[in-house]
Amino acid sequence: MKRALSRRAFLGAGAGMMLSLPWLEAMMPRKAQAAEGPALRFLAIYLPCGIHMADWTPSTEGANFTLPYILEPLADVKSDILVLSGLDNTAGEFSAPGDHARGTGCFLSCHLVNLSETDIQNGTTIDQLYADHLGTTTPLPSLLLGTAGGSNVGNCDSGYSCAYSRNISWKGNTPMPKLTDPATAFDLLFAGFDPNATAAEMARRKARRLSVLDYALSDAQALKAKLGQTDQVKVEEYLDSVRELELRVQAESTAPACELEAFDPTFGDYPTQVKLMMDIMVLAMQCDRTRAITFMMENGGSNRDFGFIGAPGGHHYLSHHNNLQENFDKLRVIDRWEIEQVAYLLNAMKNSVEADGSLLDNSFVFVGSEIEDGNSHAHRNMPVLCAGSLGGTVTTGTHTVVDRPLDDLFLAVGQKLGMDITSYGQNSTAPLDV
Amino acid sequence: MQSEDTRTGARTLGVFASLVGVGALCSGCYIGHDSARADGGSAATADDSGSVDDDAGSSGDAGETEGDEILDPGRVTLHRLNRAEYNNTIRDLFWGLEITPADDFPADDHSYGFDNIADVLSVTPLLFELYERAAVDVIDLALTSTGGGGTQRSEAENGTADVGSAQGGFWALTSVGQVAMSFEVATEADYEVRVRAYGQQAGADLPQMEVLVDGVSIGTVDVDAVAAAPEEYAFDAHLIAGTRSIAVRFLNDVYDPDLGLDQNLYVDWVEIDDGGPAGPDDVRAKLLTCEPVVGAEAECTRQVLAAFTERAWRRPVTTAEIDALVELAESARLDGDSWEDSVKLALKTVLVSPHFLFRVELDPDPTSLTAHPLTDHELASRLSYFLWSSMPDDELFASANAATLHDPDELQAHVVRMLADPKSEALVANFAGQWLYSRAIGTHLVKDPALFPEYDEELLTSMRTEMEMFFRSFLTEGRSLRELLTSETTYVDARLAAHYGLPIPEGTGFQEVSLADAPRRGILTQAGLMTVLSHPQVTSPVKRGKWVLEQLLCLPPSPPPPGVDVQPPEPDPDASVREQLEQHRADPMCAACHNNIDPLGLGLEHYDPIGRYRTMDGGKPIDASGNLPNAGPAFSDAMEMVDLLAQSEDFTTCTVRHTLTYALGRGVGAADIPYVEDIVVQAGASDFALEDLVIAIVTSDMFRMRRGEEPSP
Repeated sequence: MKRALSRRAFLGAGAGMMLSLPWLEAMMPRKAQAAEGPALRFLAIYLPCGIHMADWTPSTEGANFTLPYILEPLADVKSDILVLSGLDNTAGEFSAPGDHARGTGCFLSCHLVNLSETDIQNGTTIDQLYADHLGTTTPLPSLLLGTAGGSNVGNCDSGYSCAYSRNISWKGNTPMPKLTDPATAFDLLFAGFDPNATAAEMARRKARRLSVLDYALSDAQALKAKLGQTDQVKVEEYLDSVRELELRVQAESTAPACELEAFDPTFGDYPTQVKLMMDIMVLAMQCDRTRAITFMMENGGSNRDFGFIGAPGGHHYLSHHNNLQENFDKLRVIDRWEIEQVAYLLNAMKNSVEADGSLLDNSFVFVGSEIEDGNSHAHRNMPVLCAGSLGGTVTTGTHTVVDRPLDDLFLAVGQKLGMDITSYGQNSTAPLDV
Repeated sequence: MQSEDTRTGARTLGVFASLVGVGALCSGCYIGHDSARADGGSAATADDSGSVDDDAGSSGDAGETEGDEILDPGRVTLHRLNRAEYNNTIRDLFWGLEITPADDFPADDHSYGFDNIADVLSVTPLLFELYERAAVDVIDLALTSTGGGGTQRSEAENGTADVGSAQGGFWALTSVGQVAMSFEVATEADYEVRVRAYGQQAGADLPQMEVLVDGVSIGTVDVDAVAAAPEEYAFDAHLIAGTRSIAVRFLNDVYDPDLGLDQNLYVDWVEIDDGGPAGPDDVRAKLLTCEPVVGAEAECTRQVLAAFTERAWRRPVTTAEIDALVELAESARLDGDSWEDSVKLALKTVLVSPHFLFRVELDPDPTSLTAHPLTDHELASRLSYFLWSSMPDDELFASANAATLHDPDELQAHVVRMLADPKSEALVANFAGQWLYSRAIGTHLVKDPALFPEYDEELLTSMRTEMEMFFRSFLTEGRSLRELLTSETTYVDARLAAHYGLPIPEGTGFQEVSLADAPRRGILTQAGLMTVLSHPQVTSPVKRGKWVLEQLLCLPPSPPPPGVDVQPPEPDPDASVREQLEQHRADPMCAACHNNIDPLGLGLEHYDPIGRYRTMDGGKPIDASGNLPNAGPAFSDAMEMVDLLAQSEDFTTCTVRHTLTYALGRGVGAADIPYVEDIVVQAGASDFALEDLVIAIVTSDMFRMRRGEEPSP
């Protein structure tokens, strides 16, 4: 595939991956709400096919817990993490096969999804609620990333639409598609930047961009008037998309908010793709391009082969372990590798200093899977790892055992993010005490 | 390629110790064309791909039920271009420009087994933003694509400067210094180097401009042109092949703010011209077909936009539409943009318009159920997106403009022409890729390396090539589509020939070989398909049986009942896969569906998880006998099975249905049955040669007509 010309002359030749930028007062986001406290971020990381819980669940409760094998890579951020046991996502339960689709669909929404290939139904997820809450505070309302787009041939899971297996961020019944190419993600986040451009130049570009969007809107309105009902829905989707972009372009400051060094987004293998995405997430937050991020490390029921870490055979296939030790041995290796990638992200966030703590201190990171155990396909006692104290509102450095719906965790986090909500998902009871 | 396995463990059945908690009877699992006909479609259930969903016809709004004689050609929802269509359309709109921006777009949603189904394709904010960026990238590339011969131009704002800044499409050199641009010179020759520039004089002398090639001066000139009328200044240079840097240098700056003196040089672009004709890749010249005349720039703007928009929107454009686009461009130009930048802005607008991104089909009355013909242009788009996954070409546009495309003879002539065109490769990649699953062959298909050490990426690539070449042979050779199942020839390279135990062909490429002496026929026994429809360690008769039912017979089985533990069988030296699946038929709860699924898959047991032929499994000779669904005729092995399948009405009708679904971009339902029957008869006259099937489809009223929809309360 031939890449388009780069319009970003300042990027320069690939210089490897860049990590945390030192925090400079000059890089303070222009729209930072200094008076209202730190900029709070929400992240969700999705790991497919369940977790080998025997090596995940700490043996003791409380602050002095020992990190089990899978969580050992988090040693440097142990005081910043919160392991929660006993949370149920019963929205994934239904009397038919399809746990991967259902579990992925309800991963953040805690809604039972509809068994259909075409009549797709779900609920709005916490990251999208937060994005709406922030409005045009940041240039991008949310950043949705992944590593796999997904196949287009055949069914995805037992009669469930592929949309359920491929997306964890939803606005009502609409899945919010994710980007799987680091170069495109980087482009979307930062291509507006051009340190060589004057403020007048930036203003002119903005005006031109808006004139095109304006035209598109009136063009589509004229078309809509000639169409029948079903077709009008399609045009409405187009109009909503254009309006959203127009609002963002209008709100965007014409001065870049952040300095960037060279970034090489090319990758040849899966581990590099994952690391690049983690780097991009950190950059996006440091430059305050967005404060709501989700990342799917592969799609629901992924059968990715982990031969590269000595655990070949396909992740999904192995996760149907039939209680065989040889499968457990491979699963714990895969799960630990996945947590190593999470540790890479959390360490970068911890080392990213902001005016009032670290980036990690001001964030809430949710890590989980669509099912508990890959063989049982259960939706109770879910593997849940949280990180970041969300501006001091969440107590970390502990393992807490509860018996509550997962919905209650998101309800609590949503309130701490500043949203005025009294329920979440389909099964919330009260905000979880975290 | 990061595709996931499309079938999760939940969909495959294996040994289960008990059926604890099985709920309702596995009833209604047989959804057939016949039953839909007989009882008005009450057997239709969940939306499995390829199912006869009675709400499928007419994009979710079934007009009439069968039993009435009123024919309803249905309607297709406003149809967004999918990724493949977007890439191909850009390629063809820009005369072969090599850029595929849709590779970065999110994956298309799919339904009925295809990713070109109008009802499930939508625009999201992310996708629209990607469309916007793609439009800019494409236009930038197009305007700098001047091909090998002729002229190459580089804009000064895209160069590297040591002084100055961009201003209104020019680069302003505000003090002594230069701006340099790179050129790829293909062949050594004498070139004319042209610079378009103007100056702002503030001293006794005119601004002076020097041009250097790789740091060596090729001339100096006084710039007497002014902002109102920039000029082109020409120099001669002998350029050698390779990357050359051409710099424009401002020599005599004057700046005295107290006296209000400011002398500058403004550079628009640099061109090199070898004096030869424009090369075939000169996209720029095809797009910008005129030079703007100072004081009447809008005329050239109009000319460029009219020609481009009519092709981009795939229909004649109104004066009002062009007026609006010209006005957009002129506003920008009068605000300081260069003429070219102003045109680029309008071109971008054309590419993000819904008229480009969607295939628009209008009804005179959108709420009326009375059918009417499509316009010739709408029909041309349906035809080109069916056969090429791309926009109409000049010949199709010509027929549309002449209003003769509805004529069945003319349609037929285009079909024959289009199937012979290399662009029909889209049918192989997109139609066959999804119907026959050749797209599913990829490195995500994991096999146990201990059991299959020879399974590697090279073998997978050969498998996929075989499937694609095989299908390609049906496009123009007049082969009956029954031969998809029964063909005694296929295409192999050395690797596959060894895999199949066939004589190794000479050379490294693929050749057509005979299977007459081999235990293989057609697509069902091809290694690629068998590999897709297997587990990492064992075959999957259930996946295979289900595939035959869905893709070849349009008899999709229901999902397993709730509470059933679904595991693939284990490789067992003492138990064949057939034996391990016995419980399917022994238990009446399972048998209702599995009596139809399993025999078809077990008929293929001779083909192992990577498609090699074998005679033993579980220590015993393989028993590949079975019967067609619904207690149909019996067979003793796959060879007999494919003959029976190929001869069955279910197969030919199903082939027509899948092709129709892909052609229209909507599911096929009860209201379509009369048309389907007609097409089956018409295509059957030539024993279902693909070309004749396509002709039957595109000349059918289903394809050439449409209607509105009743508004729901």
